[in-house]
Amino acid sequence: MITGAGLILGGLTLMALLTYPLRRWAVICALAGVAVVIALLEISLRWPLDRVTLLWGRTVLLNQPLQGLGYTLAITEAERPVLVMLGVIALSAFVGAWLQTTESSFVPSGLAILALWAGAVIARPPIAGIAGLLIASCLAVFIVHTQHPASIRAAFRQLWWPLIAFLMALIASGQIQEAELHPDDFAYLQTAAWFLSISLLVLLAPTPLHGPAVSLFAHAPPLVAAFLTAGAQTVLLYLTWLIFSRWPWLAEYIELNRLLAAGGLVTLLWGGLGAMTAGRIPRLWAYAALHDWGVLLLGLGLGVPLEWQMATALFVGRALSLLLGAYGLASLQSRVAQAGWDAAQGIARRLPWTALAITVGGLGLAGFPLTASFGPRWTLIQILLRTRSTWGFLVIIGQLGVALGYLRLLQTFMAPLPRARRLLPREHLATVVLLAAGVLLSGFLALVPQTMDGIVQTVIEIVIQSSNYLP
Amino acid sequence: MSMPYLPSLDQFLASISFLSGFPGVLALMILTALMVVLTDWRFLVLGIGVQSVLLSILATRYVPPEWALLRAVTGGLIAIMWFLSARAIRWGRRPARWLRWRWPPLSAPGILRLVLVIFIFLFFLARHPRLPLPGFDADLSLLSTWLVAMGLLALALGEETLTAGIGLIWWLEAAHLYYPAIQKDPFVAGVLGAMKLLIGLACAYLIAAEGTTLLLPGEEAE
Repeated sequence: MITGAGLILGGLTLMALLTYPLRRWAVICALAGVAVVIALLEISLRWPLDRVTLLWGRTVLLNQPLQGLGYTLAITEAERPVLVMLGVIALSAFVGAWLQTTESSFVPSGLAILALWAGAVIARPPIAGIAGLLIASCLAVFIVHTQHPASIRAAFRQLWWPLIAFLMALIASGQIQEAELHPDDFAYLQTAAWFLSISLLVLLAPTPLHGPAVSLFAHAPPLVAAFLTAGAQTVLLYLTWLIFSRWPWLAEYIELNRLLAAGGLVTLLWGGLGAMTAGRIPRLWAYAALHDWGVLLLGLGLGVPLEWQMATALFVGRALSLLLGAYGLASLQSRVAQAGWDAAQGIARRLPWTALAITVGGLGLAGFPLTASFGPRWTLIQILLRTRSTWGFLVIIGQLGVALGYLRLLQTFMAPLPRARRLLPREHLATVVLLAAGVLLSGFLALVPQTMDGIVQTVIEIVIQSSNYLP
Repeated sequence: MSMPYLPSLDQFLASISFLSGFPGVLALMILTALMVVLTDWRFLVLGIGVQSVLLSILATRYVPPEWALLRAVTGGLIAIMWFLSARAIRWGRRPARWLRWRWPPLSAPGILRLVLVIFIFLFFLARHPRLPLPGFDADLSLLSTWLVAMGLLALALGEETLTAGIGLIWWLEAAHLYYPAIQKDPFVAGVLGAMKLLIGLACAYLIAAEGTTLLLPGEEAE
């Protein structure tokens, strides 16, 4: 009998190996990646967990655990929404892969990274998940770098925090095992809590630990940056929830909520300041994403019972805005080599959908009205203004910084087109369809926020209810 | 006349047992500091190999000699990967930025590195900082803390993957030294070794990629 973990991890790894020789044919490679991710979504969404399913004459049981060496890989109800989210992020990235011409091994490496993320989500104990994140970062190095030296430094920086987090979590895990052997000695638990909290904080990377994240957005190909950030943060948020559910005594030693709230406030303000003064479009995008991450950390820092509901809602809007901005930037970079402010002048007149996607994606990261993140952001600000009004005002100030940066960019987009760029090739029909779909989806979620609320409620109910059955 | 024979692993370790005590710790601390200051690629690659041997000898306090040998092999493999990457892109045959080290005089970045290492050494002498690692020998705790501090310095000052990447390896070495002291789990020891190889491989790839961006016009990688 094939286990669910074996099917998903083995299937994704096998397809990563099979698509690698196809990397020279970008469209075929992207289509293969899309087909694999659709299969993952089908399995995660629709296959029964506890009933045997037939696959090419072999029986598959999804929730059958795969055990060995003291570790377990098992899919439960709680992991299904996370796997679906990872699948949707990968699907969006692979669909847009053909827009990008810089990195041909993106799809095979992306599938291998997806396998590692899926493994990180379903592995127990959670230290194995952090190891999965580190291995995924090592693989990410191969797709982050381009021919530019700055992108090589950006690729190297992606190793920093996952490595430190892994080492800290490893020491914490040893201390937890020691604490089980010496129940009267609280020093072990205290040390474990200290190391585990540092591990999570380093992975969540609030300012001043934001360097690797900013350099990823500023120097990596846009779709690679959006895929790696959205995917890794999905896994990370789930691992954070899992660790606190599994070891509730952590909260007695470390007030992580306060640290997250403080880190979130600094991050969102730093992001707003950076976006306001950015001199290149990718850097503007990077700081907008940093600001949005700060807001999400602040939402997590609100504490029980709002934290996870708020974080999930903010994350759905964030992922959509990130991917939309990445589509727009990938389309722009495939036509204009430079990413400076001057290169964007008058672009809206030749590439209107590209300009719109970049602007809507960026303003979405600022929580601007009529974008996907507006609903949850507005709710967060209202809660903050009632409970901690200073924090609410600081969020608005950060938002204004990002919005100003993007409005400045919009002004550049709308400027007269320089004579030298009058013959700039227009967007292909497929690009227009993709960008328009993203812009419309963002607008739809802003106008009908109940849709997002419904998704968030379903995810929260599934994950929280399933926590009672954690191994 | 009796035939010469190769000593067994245990006999070999017994003959160099003095290195599993404080002299070994001191030698490693000095070697690490020199690697931060000198940043010559040949010295770094050789240093990684020597370090992994010394660390393996120290590790025999907590792990069987066979595990320690595997650790030395892992370090050796990383040294070979980095050497091949640096050679493949002809590092050292042309004036790269950080290769202009001469003796005497030291370059300005070299002096800065030396001053910072001395500052950290004085801080260690004055404040005795230690990572909070219960159940660990005091001298190894000192060495782990020193490796972490030097790793941080290498990352902060290193402009290239070769000079900065060594910092990541030192962090892993520090954890690899400590973990077997509290948990004799062969799987975790294997995972740590595999992580070192993975990080080493990723850095070796970036060293090669970095080198190709610095090649002179008309020059090709070997």
